[in-house]
Amino acid sequence: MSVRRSRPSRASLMIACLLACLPACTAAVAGCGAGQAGQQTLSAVTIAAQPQLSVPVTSSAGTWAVVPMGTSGTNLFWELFLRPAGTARWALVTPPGVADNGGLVAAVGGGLSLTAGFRPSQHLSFSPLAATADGGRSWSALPGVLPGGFAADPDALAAGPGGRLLGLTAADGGTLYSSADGGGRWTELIVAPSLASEPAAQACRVSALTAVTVTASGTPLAGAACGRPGAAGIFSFARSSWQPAGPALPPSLHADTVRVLRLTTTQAGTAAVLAASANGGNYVVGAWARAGPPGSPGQHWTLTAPLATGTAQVLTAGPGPGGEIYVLLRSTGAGRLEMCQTPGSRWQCFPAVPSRTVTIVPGPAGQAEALAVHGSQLTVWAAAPGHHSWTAVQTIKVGIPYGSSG
Amino acid sequence: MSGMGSMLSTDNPAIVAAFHAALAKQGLIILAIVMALAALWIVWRSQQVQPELGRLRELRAVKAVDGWRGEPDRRRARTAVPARTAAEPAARRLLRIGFGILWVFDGLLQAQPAMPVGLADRVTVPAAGSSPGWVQHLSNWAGLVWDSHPVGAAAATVWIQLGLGLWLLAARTGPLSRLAGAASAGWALAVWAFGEAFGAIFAPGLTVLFGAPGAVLFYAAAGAAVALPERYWDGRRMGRVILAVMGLFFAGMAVLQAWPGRGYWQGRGGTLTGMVQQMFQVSQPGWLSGWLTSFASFVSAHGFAVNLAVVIVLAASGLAFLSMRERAVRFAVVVAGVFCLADWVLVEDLGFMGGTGTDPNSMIPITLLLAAGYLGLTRPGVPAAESARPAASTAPAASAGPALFPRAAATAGAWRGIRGTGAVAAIAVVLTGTIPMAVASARPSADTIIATALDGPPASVNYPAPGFALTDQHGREVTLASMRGRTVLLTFLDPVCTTDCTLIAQEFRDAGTLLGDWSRQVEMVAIVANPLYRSPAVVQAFDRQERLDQVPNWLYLTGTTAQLEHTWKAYGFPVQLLSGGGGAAERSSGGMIGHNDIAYVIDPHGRTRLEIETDPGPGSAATMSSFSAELAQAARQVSGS
Repeated sequence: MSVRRSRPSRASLMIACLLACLPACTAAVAGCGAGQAGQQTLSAVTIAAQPQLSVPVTSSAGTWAVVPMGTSGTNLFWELFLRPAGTARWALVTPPGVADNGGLVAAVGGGLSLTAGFRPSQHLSFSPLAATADGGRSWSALPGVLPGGFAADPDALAAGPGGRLLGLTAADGGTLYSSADGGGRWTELIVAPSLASEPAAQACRVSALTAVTVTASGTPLAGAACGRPGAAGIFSFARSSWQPAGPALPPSLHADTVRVLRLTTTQAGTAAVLAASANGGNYVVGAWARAGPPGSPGQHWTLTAPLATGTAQVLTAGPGPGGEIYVLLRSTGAGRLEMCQTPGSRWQCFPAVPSRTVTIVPGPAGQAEALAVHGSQLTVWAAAPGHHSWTAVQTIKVGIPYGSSG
Repeated sequence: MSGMGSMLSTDNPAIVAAFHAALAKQGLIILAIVMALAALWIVWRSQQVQPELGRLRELRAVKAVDGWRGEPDRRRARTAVPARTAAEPAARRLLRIGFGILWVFDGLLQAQPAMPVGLADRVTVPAAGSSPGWVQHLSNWAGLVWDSHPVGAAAATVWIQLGLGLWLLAARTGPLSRLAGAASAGWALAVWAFGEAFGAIFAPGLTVLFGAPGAVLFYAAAGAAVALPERYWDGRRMGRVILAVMGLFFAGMAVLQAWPGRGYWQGRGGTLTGMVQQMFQVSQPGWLSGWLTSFASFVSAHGFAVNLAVVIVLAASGLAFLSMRERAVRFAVVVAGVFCLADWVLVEDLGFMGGTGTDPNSMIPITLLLAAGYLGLTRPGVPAAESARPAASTAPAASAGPALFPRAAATAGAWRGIRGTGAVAAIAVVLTGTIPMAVASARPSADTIIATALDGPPASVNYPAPGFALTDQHGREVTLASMRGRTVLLTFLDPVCTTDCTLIAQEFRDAGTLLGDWSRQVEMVAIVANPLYRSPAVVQAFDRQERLDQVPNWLYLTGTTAQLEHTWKAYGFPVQLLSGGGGAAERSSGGMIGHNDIAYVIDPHGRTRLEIETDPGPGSAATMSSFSAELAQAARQVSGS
């Protein structure tokens, strides 16, 4: 029987070539996996220095606080609580009718006790709004909606006199809308790229809009993140144009890029919290603006001393109801609360806040409340000035509608 | 209730019943085709055999008179029976029969009741989970096609794989056999790309122990080998090629297995331990679970030693295959076979457990290929020209003597005919699966069976639809009476809903597209289902969000709270503010509006004819498309009645 044989020389050559390629191929395959793992590690180390939406605001009706409760995702619901003026007890007053898994933003002023906006979540891409004039006992839906939905900034909604509302969305790095009729109709006021191209904003090189407020005199103010070091991006809108209104930073921060974390107007005036960062470290600076002529608050800012935050994350920060600047920090251990009561005073460090504290409500004369959440339970802790501990003063059990949002 | 969407379970009775019905229906069609082919063959055979038998009888009569004269009769006999083709090489026969049986087995596995719902969501799409984006995209596309036609796709796969297996088994040699190999390779490559995410070769953690580079890639290789012209099987060439490829594969896998940093040298918490433990989650017999438990403990305690053994076996076997020395190859095939068997049981968990197992994984195909390589090396194929000569001298009964052995000749011819008819019948089986699936895939929407499986079939009713007078999104007064003469698809939607209502709105929009020209006879109407957020601005924002503002026959109606409550009551449609209940939950706690998900189909005379549950379930592209198709179908049905 004759059998054809393959030529050994050619076969050997082919096998030798393939064998030579084998380690390279396997190394390439192994390398693919290693590269992906490396990318995941890199993306996981990003730290956002952006305060939560859980902040208190104060109106004539009392002090309001937005608090996230439940678990996570579609089982996390944002609740609104009110401590009526002159009382010490908090009560649940969340506006009904919308699943608020995306977050709530709230603003006082404009003649109503409080206006609340629902952030987009799941398939809802715009923001409905509600208002109450009776301390949250009843809510009415505002006729209009904010197109695009509120940005994830605690000062994305501001209310001013005469029913004026300002709303900030995340589109295009921040788009500011204005409503002159109490939320019935919204018109675009400015987008971040347009503001960045304004001559008045050249010194800041605006990269994003981060906060909005209306001064007591009715002047809209917008806070921004600046790309140019040493500039604080606060701008006022007067006579149909934007003007720089931000505070001048101390020389120690001239190399830092600054982001406006909070910008709000309380009964005590307009105040801001700025986050500054550079290679030298991270700082938080509080700023108060004395009420001045419209369009010129920048000339009257007073700054706190820079508070070095190191690698700690800013959980929440803001001007309190009385204008106190507070910052809640968290690093690896317990939360750390720092508060600066008045211009010229020093940062005061409070005892370690209770675990699961999500927001701080500064009180008069150095007092503070810490709102801590465990699932569906809110615990209110109080610390008096000079005390070295927090005391639980109230517990509220909230019926979270688990499972109703997806 | 809004946001309470239910999922589609793998044992959904509606889907399983439809799957069984489809299999039975297509099975009957196949039976009819097979019977027709058999009848044709019998007729053809009788026409061929009768003259031949006549000649044989004549030949016998001549022999009885004249005695045996040898050569002239032999020549006559050769003209009566087709010339004999070369014997099929043992290696090819092993591949053809082995992978034929595997395809049949895989086809039977595809008939498991959980396949229609479970295959894409549990098997194919997760298989691409750690692969690059483009692989996931491909896998998701295939998953969407499957999920859109779960019954048709599952039944098609059953018949295609059964058909391929039977085709390989029936067609021994010739063009039909090679075509079977090519079809097998083509289908296997399609499954490899779309169903196995390329055997996860682009994902980290690639290992032969867990099935890389994909079981069906070996099916494809075997199919390609069978598809080659017969001359490629002459001599030892194919055996050498198979062994060389498998040798390189084993050596490469050994290098990969030994590569540091991939977790295979680690016992406790290592990759292999994790893989074995992962198999615990699959439902399986108790004895197998016990074996896996013991093996997991062993690997956990001796991870380094186990991986070392694996690397040595893979590397040594690979080198032995590449050496092409008969003794070394024989020994390596035995060792590799034992290794594959152990891995198949202890790591791959037999591959087909859990209700959605699609094949016995990679180790059986690998073993078949190794054995085929060995056979190709040790039992070389004989060229057709050569096989005829010695065969004629050594096997007179089969070749030279049909005239002398008419019964044997007739039997051999009959078998050839049966095989040929069987191959044609197998092709018919494949086409029975392929054609309906191709037709279904060409449809722009998913099958309505998914919507039926989630929410039940539309309920036929016949009562006057309650009237209403509301305002549309443009501020115009609209009444139900004003829509007389057209079919109305009516539902209730919360404009600030975050879940179901948005999905239902999209289903209505897509139903309008599916209706095509019919949409001129249909009004699609939603009524606001939120007592607080009901302003025209909110309704318009919802329309813009869902791109309904460009749908000409879409009306989103609102009104005062009193008007809306009156309409809700008239339709028996409860609307409530959700809260968690208890304690402070007496007040709102951030929940949405609770309401039913339902659509009414009102005929041109104002009578409600169908009630359709529209809870969108998981809200996947397939389920939404199915609901759209159901709504469009219902509107057509009522418009045409």
